[in-house]
Amino acid sequence: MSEFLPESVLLPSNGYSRALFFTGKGGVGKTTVSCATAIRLADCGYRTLLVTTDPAAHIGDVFEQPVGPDIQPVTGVPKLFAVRIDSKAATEEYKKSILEDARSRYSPDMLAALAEELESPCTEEMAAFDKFTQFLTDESYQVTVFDTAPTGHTLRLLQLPFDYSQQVGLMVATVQESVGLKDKTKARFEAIIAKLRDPLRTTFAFVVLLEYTPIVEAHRAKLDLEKAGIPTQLVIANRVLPAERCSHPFFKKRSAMQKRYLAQLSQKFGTPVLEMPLFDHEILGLPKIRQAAEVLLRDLPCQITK
Amino acid sequence: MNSSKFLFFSGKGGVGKTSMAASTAVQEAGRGRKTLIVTTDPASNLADIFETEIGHHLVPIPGVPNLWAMEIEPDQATAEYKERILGPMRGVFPAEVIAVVEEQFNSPCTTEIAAFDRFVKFMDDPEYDLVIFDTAPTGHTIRLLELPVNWSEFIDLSAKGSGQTCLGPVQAIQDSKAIYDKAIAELRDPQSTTFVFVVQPEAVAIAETERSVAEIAQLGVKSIELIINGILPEEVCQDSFFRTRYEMQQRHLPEIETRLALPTRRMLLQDDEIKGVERLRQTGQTLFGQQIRVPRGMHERVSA
Repeated sequence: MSEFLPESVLLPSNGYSRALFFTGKGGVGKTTVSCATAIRLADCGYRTLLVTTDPAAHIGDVFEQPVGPDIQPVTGVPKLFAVRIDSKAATEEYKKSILEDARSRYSPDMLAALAEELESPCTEEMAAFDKFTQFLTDESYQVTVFDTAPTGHTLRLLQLPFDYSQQVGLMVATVQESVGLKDKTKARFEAIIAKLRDPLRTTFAFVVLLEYTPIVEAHRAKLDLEKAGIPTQLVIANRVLPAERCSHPFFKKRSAMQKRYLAQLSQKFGTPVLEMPLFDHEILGLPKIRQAAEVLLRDLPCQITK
Repeated sequence: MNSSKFLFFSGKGGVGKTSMAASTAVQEAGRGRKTLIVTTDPASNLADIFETEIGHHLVPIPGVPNLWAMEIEPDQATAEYKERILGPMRGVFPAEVIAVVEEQFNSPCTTEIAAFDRFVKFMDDPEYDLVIFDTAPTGHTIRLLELPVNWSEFIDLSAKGSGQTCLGPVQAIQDSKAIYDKAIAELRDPQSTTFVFVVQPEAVAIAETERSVAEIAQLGVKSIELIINGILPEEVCQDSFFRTRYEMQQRHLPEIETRLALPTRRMLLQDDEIKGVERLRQTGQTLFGQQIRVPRGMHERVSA
C-alpha cells in the first residue's frame, strides 16, 4: 500500500463537504474519537458539525458544556458546532407514529406484539438514521462528524421495494399523502444512499480495541456494510498501551499482544490504521480532547488557526 | 451459581465473557458434573481458548473429562431457520414481501432468536448436568418469545410495511410455543438458571450493565451474579501511568457493588489471553476459590 495520507479520508475534497461516520461496538471509544476529530478539523479552520447520539450526561461531561437538540456553537472552539440527537425521544416518536397507524386496524394482542417488536435495537437505529439524514444533506458545513453509524442491515432495509415513508416512519402518520410527495421522499433517500457510497464525500471509520472479540465483531460489521455498497476507509485502534510505560513484564507482554493484533488490522480491513493511545486519565474537557486529537491526527497536514 | 443447571454469561464484547464461561465449564466438569458449553456468539473464540476445533456440532474437550462444547454457527442456524419460514411463504406472498422478510432475517435480533431456538433444544436435553451459554439472550428476545400472538397474522402486518423489525421469523415461534414457554419458566427458576454478568471496572460499562441487569430482573430472572473482570493487579502498577489507572479502577469497585448489589466475584487482569485447559483450570480455581461477595440483605437469596 502506498503511503497513507489521512487528509484523503478526513478532509473535504473536490469542493464537496465530507461526512465522517465513526462506528464500532459500545465502549470502544467512539465518542472520544469523534470529538477529537471534530475539534481538530475545526481548529484547522473547517466549519465542522458534530452530530452525537450519546446520552446528554455523557456528551456533556466530555465537552464540559451541554449539547442540545438544536445546532449550537461549541464554546472554546470557534468553527465547531454540535447537536445531539436524542435517540430515546426519536425512538419513542417513531414507535408512537407506527402504533397509532396500526391501532385502527389490528387487535389488541397484535398491537402488543407490534409494540414489543418495536423494542428491537433496530428501531432505535432506524429512528436515529431518519434524524441523521437531515444533517447529512446540510451542505453549510465543510465536515460533519457522526459518532455512530447505520449498520449494513439498516441501509439494506431502506433500499427494499417498500416505500421509504413506511419503512422509516418518517411520514407514517401521513401515509395517505400524495404520490408526488412519496416520490420526492424516495428521491431524497436515493441521494442520501449515493452520498454514503461516495468515498469522496463520506468516510466510514471503525473504532476497535486491540483484542480478539472487538476486532472480529468490527470485521463482520464491515462486511455487512459492504453488502450495502458502503466501503470502509479507515480503522482507528483505540487504547493502545504506550510502549514507554510498559517496562513491567506484565504490561510488556500485554503490549506485545496488542502489537500482534495491530499488525493484522490494516490487511484484515483493507484500510489504513490510525492509533489512539491509552491515557492515564479519562478524556474529559476541551484541553484533554485537544491533547488526544494532537496524537491521533499528528500526520494530518493542517495549520491550527488560533 | 453452583447448583444451577443453566448458566448464561452476559456482557459486552471484549469483557472476557468467553474466558469466564470456559473457566467455569472446566471447573464444574472437574467437580464431576457432565457439562456442555455452547456459544452462539458470531465472534466467539471458544475454539481458540480450548485450543481445539469445535464447530457446529458437539465435541468432547480433550484433557477435560465430562466436558463437551459446541459453537452454534449463527449464519447456519439462521439459514436453517429462514428456510422453515420462507419455504411455505414462497409462492403465497408477492416477491417484494419475500424480499423484506429475507432482509429482516439479517437483523441482529433475528439471529439471536434463531440462536435461542437452537439452545432451547439443549435446555430440553436431560443428557447434561450443566449447560453453559456464553451469550445470554437479551430482554427483548425473551419478551418476544413469551407473547401470546397469532404470528401468521403478524407476517401480514409486517408486509404492510412496519419494516425494520424481526417479525418474519417469529412466525415460526408459534410452532415451538410450548417449548419456549418451558424454557422461559426455567430461566425464571433460580434453582435452574443463573445469569452471570461480566463487567470491567469502568464508568460507562457500569452504567450499561446496570441497565441490562435491571431489564433481566424485570423479566423475572431471579438468580443473577456478577464477575468484575480486568482488575489491574496492584503490584504491576509501579509506573505512575498505570498507578493512576489502578486508582481509578479501585474507586469504581465499591461503586459497582453498591449500585448493582449482586453476589460478586473479582478477577484480575492477566498478562496475556487465557488459553488452554491448564490456564482455564487455574482461572476457574481463582474464580471459585474466592469468597463470593454478597451485598447486605441478600444472604438468604444466595445458596452456598
